[in-house]
Amino acid sequence: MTSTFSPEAAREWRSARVDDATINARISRVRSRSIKTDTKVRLLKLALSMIDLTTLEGADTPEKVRALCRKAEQPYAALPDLPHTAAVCVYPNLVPVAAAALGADRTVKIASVATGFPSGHVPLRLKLAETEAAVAAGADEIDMVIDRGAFLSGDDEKVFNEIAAIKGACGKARLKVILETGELGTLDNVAAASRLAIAAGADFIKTSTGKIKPAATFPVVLVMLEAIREHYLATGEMIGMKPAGGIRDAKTALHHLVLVAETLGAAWMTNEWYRFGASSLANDLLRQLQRREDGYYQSPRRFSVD
Amino acid sequence: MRTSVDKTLKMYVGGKFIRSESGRTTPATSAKGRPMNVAAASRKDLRNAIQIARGAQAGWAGRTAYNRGQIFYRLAEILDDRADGLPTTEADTLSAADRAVHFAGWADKITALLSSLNPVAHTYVNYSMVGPMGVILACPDPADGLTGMVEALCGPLVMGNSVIVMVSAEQGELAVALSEALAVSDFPGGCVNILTGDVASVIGHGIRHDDLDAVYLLGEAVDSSLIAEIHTENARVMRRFIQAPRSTEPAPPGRLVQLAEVKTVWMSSAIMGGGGAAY
Repeated sequence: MTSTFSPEAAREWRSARVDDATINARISRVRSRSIKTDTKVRLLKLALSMIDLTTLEGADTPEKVRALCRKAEQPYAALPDLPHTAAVCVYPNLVPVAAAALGADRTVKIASVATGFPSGHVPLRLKLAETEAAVAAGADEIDMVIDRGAFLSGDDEKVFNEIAAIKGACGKARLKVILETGELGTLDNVAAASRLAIAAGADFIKTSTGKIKPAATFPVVLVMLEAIREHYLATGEMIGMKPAGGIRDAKTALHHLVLVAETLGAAWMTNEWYRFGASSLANDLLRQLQRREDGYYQSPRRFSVD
Repeated sequence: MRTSVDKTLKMYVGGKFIRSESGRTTPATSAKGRPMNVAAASRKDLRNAIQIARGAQAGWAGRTAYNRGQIFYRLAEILDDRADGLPTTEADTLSAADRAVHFAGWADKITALLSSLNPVAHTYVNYSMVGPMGVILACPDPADGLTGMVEALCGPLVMGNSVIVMVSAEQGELAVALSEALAVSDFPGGCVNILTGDVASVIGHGIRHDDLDAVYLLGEAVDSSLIAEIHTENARVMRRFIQAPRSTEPAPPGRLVQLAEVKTVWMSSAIMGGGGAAY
């Protein structure tokens, strides 16, 4: 499937007008929710199974990626019955390392960033080559960044065509489109970029690279979820959501789950359609689960340093 | 006639004055006989305080000993200035100020006193150094007033730990007065925290939190059944429990070493200068 750009559609994407007051009111209602006991345990496990366990540092080494893969497969040795995380997320050069560590019959998927992450300021042919290389090396999912410079200067056509071209280069790999909302400035822009990315063929829309603050704030996530809902109501097609960056504790993750449940419904409450891009979140989830297990509040020192 | 200014007192955590996240308060009476409400620390307040104290500890320990001494002295200056205005006796406040001066003096000397080059009987060098333990939950004897509170926080702090002092609701007004002095004494936010409320229940939660390194009780801070419980829970995670007498005298070096971690280093000297060695 190839999507084609139309200026009429672009005008419609750009016509989004988000009401901040309403968004904030909905967020504050969700943020005040308290989830306890069995439901909490169920959602903590669900959140764990939705994590794209991520390492995207210049200092990443093959051994660090192997350690990350082991943790993704078995998050915590003391609680062997926990679900594995959805995926590991690494730079393209480290995809072969992850593929070797996880094996051919892997249950944990491999996501790779591509397209000149995190800025996206490289020529399209290099973006395509990087994407193809990552897929060839074994990536199941590609996390691309949009060209924010083009988006902010109004060149929707360029952003759209790049996403569509990368989608083509992905083959069977699922495409997550990173909007880097911290650089988009307004919620209106977030809504417009979400609509654009979905129209261009994104399988997932993702808030941030994790390199810019603010990252996955609640208002931004809600606006993106609303864009997904709008698309679903119009076409019946589901799009995945991935908040990434700044989600460090279990409580924030549970509130994100409340938000997706209330906005999109139970069908999205699976790691096929919802992911957390995070690294330190996993340890806090494990800490809370261990606390439910033995009654003792754990020291962060008892969990692996990732 | 003035409208009465009714007070709901706050706790001091992370350099900020906060209410309990639970919103709970305990009614109490001020030194001037007025009714007031004192924040009642919840389990979660303690968890948050431990997290904040943990984050602040390295920064506090990383200050020079000289600078830490200056900060203790600054606390003494403020307590001394306010001697006639705090909700306790003037003698108590002055004694608390003296206590702060005492620890200001120890700040740049105690490590030298407690660390040692150890005697050995073979070809190695062996030395021991004291360093901070981490986060300590301290509880003064209520009968010791402000002096007891200052004593409870100074011991752990002078050894480079961060401290959470737990004070009963009845002494909430005095705890706030001390917090207000701490807040302007240049202690970095989070290295010293003061919670108010039900002492026994907060300590009961503290000993079930594995990120707490020690419990420091002075005098008759809690009853014997809780002490037995502290021993049991501490054995599970090898957490230290320091029981001290009332705060009539400042902590001697023998107690300060219990509030620290001793690290011993063994260094072989067999090769250096050994038979036939090149150097």
